[in-house]
Amino acid sequence: MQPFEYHRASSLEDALRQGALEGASYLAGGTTLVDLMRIGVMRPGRLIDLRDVSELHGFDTGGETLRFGALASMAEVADDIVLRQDYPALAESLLLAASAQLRNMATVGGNLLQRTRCLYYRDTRYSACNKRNPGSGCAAQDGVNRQHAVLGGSERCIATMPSDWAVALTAFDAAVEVAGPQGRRTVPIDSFHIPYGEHPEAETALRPGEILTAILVPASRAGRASCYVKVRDRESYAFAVSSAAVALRLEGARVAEARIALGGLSTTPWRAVASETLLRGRTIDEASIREAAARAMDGADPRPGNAFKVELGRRTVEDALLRAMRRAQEGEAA
Amino acid sequence: MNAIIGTPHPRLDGRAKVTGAARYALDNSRAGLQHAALVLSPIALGRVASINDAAVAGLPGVRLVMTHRNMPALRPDAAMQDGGHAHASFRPLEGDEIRYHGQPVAVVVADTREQAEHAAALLPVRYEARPGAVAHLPEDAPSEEEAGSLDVGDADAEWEASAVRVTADYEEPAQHHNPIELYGCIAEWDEQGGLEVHVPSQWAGGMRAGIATVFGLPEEKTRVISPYIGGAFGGKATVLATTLLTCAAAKLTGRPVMLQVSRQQAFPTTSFRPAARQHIRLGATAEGKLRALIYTSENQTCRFDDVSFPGGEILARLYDIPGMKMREGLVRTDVNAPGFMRAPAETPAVFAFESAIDELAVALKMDPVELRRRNEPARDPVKGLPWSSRSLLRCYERGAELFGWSGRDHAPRSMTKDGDLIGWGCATAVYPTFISTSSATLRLTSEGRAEVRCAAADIGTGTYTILAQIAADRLGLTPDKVTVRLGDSTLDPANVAGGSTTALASGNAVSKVAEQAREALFKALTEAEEGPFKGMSPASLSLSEGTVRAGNVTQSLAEAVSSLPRGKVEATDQWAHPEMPAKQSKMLWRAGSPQGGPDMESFTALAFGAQFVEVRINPRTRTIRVPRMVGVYAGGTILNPRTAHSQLMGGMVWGLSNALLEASEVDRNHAAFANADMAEYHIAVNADIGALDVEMLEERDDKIGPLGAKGLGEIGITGTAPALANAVFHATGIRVRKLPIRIEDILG
Ligand SMILES: Cc1cc2nc3c(=O)[nH]c(=O)nc-3n(C[C@H](O)[C@H](O)[C@H](O)COP(=O)(O)OP(=O)(O)OC[C@H]3O[C@@H](n4cnc5c(N)ncnc54)[C@H](O)[C@@H]3O)c2cc1C
Ligand code: SF4
Repeated sequence: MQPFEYHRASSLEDALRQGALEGASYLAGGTTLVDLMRIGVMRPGRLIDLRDVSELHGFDTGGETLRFGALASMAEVADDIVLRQDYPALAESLLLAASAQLRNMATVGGNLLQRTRCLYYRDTRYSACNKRNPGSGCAAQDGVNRQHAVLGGSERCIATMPSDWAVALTAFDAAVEVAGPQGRRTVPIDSFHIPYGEHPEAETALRPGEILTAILVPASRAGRASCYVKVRDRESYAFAVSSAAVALRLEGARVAEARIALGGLSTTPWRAVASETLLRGRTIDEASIREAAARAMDGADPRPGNAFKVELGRRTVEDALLRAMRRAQEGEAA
Repeated sequence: MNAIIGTPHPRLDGRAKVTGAARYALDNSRAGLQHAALVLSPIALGRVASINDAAVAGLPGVRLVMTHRNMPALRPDAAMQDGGHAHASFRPLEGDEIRYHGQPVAVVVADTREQAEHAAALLPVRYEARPGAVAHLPEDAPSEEEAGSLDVGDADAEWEASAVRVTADYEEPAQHHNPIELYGCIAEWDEQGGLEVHVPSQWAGGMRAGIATVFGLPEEKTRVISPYIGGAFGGKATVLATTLLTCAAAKLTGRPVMLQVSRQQAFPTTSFRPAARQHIRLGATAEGKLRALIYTSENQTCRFDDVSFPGGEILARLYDIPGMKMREGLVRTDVNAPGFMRAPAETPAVFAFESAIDELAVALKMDPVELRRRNEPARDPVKGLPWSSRSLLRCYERGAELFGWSGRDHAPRSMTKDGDLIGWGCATAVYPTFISTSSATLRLTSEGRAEVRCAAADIGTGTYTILAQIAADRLGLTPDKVTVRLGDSTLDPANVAGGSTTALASGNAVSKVAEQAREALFKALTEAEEGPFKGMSPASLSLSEGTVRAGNVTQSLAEAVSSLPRGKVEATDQWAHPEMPAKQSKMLWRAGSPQGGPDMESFTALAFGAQFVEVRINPRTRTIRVPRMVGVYAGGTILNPRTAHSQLMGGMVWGLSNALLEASEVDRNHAAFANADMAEYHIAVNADIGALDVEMLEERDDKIGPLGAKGLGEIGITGTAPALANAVFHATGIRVRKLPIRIEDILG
């Protein structure tokens, strides 16, 4: 591990001041950052610990906008009773992530900023990785790429965005609030993770020195009939091979609102717009669900090692929609 | 005899382990300790062109940069399978040559681990790569060299005459051990040129011999210490290159050096289960009587050693098949040497064969349990010898009953629950009873205690506990009155803790010396000048509840031993099976690994079990979950049902992991094991394990040694993958002939 300096920020202003210094990185729960420092992938010269910045803590799930302080832990948010009842997809995306120990340490802000799990990115013995080493190539293109993206990739990078929470937030049109030297701004979640294009090393809209202060979710009546389906090889403690966050609002048997976002399949959280459009106004049943799911992977560009994910993605959406439908129908009945 | 053997005595070392009092190899920090870090090659084939050690030599804390230019000269040692004690005969840093991806090219030693790792990360190394490296088992693998062969009857003729035939190819990936305790060691040289090594070890005596050979030391000046091991599974049986590098570095710095191999770095630098492929032809009559087995296999190995694990010998013992032909080949690849991993030969071979048996049952439209019933061999089909004991069908009967097998609709895709696909499968578990030899010393002390000394290892299997139970049983003591010392090369020689041999060999040795010590005590007491037993016949004495008795004359063991002139009684001896040739049993004293079986002179011995698995599969996403597993085994005398249960259960848990999760994925462009950490190399977690029933049947075996106990450390893993694959077929109608079985294999 490269030697570094450590500073515990006392306030947001202090943090921003320190964060502007050469080689600085913010430290939240450390579950991504310290891991990557230990394996030599990230080498900050200065860590600015945000833990004592009180305004970054806490969250509020009442009101017209749900607000999650960036430093709220995944565990405390996942345990929130209102979230569990009114937005099960959000709570489930956190509960199905990582392990209990990690969720206690990890923050909901840091979660959106975690780095890809691409094994070439994480192992410095491989020289070709455009993300770690801009311009060096991409060892995953014809390497071990089962976990890689089939949507949104390019010949420069096919790394998946691994956050489950980001996928669920995307389904609910969340936004991210950031503070920087120039003041505060809000970035919609679907433009927070940026398409790789020419520069896979740039992952988010966060500018150097900026701090993610909060996550905002507009209240949604579709939240109650929502779910997060995470497909993975083992029952727990694994990143998604594919996942879907789905929320439905029915009016009678008709779909008034359908929200569908995909994970584990794409380079950024992915909104299945074609599937949503197809469902809207339709009678909800197994047939319409299958039809909608069939469109979820439009535009997929798989590699031989992950070609199965195109079909798996559709099945994941189908599974999630069926569950959400059952929740919606139970809700009506109740 | 009071029943101590066979009782579920709790682990004697349990408290020390859960309270942290047990000191594992790397817990032995000491004054002046320096820390080593490895630099690994990013190329698989070629040479080191240059290393600029000066660039990091001046960094804070750095004491040594060891490369092929300043590495001390080592003497050769062969891989264990080739008769030596090494993991691999090829050792990094002996020259500039690179023969596998991730081969160490330099060792940096510094005052702290962080300093060493930092300098290692910065060390400039230039490489000259050669193309053509291969780390996977190529699809068109030519196996030019033979790893084994076996012929029984006329297999071709039986095949031709078979009414029902199955032809299928199976494949298993390379896999890596991931014990909770990482690899590493502490090496310290003393002023007299002696070397002490703390290293997790399945074989303190063998490792001592290997290290002594390599550094040209007398064995008495070399010591290997390993009282506790945090999981080994075969990976800690031999002397790893990382151990030799640490010893060499400590020699150069003149200070104790510790190396902790990281999880990522362990993948290329240590042992692994090699990839394998089998081609099976199985022929039977229309009634399901087996006639022919034609079996060929390709087994991955490295370029420099002949390490391989052909399984045909074991498969040939499962059923009565008049015609068998087996040819097993080696495929050389550019990897570090493979090595032992729990049931090394059996795990892949039994998966393939027991899947093929299920395929045959499907072709015959027959209950797979019934198919096995129709092919039970009365004698060993290979040697014609009687079985020492064999209870396979009883295991199936009991297992079927526990599992509710009679409720199975044998048609595939016939069972569902709450919309999920349900499948039930079964398979045979088998492990040969290897009969080894061991020595031991037992001392009775004036405190009325017994002390056992034996260089065997407790790799988490319960050796401490069962040896204490055996000694206690023979001496009329309670196990807490017995102190057992293991895992130190200065103790009495024992074989490697491999091949599930320790309970049988060291157990019989302890039983023998305990009886000798008891008889010696009785003799001394009756021949004494004075004392309550003076002049009596030794045969009239007995020992129970810590008391020596003869009629109504009694004396506590403590007083009895204290009364003797030396204040102690000691017995040292070796136990070897009467059918083990003397030449073989004597190898024990030269740090050899003598091992008989499964066939001895007058009998053949294996342990058998039957496993049943239920899978539950999401009809859309096809995720596979395992709500329940049942395993019924017969292993002769069960010395301690609690520790035995633990081994069998652990084996089945790993079996599930083997079936559904574990694969070391090869990046073909780099000839590298790419998923080299625990986030990408998945092993089963708690949530993957549903109900798991293990039962052990009573089985009497008086051929394999006085204790009658078969080894149970490895059998548990062997039947799980085929039972699970057979269940997946039953649930989906899709036959998966490779491991691990993943979503994409059954998406349909
Ligand atoms: C073994 C393992 C398994 C995991 N499994 C899953 C999983 O299944 N699903 C899943 O979604 N995640 C998973 N994770 C990822 C985990 O959820 C993230 O590591 C965690 O959420 C990151 O939060 P943190 O607070 O620890 O971030 P840190 O590690 O502290 O920071 C992460 C990055 O964000 C920056 N940063 C953090 N907070 C701020 C802020 N407020 N403003 C600006 N920059 C900031 C840091 O500089 C750093 O670059 C897993 C992680 C591990 C180690
Ligand atoms: S997929 Fe992206 S992260 Fe992975 S090797 Fe390619 S460029 Fe690097």
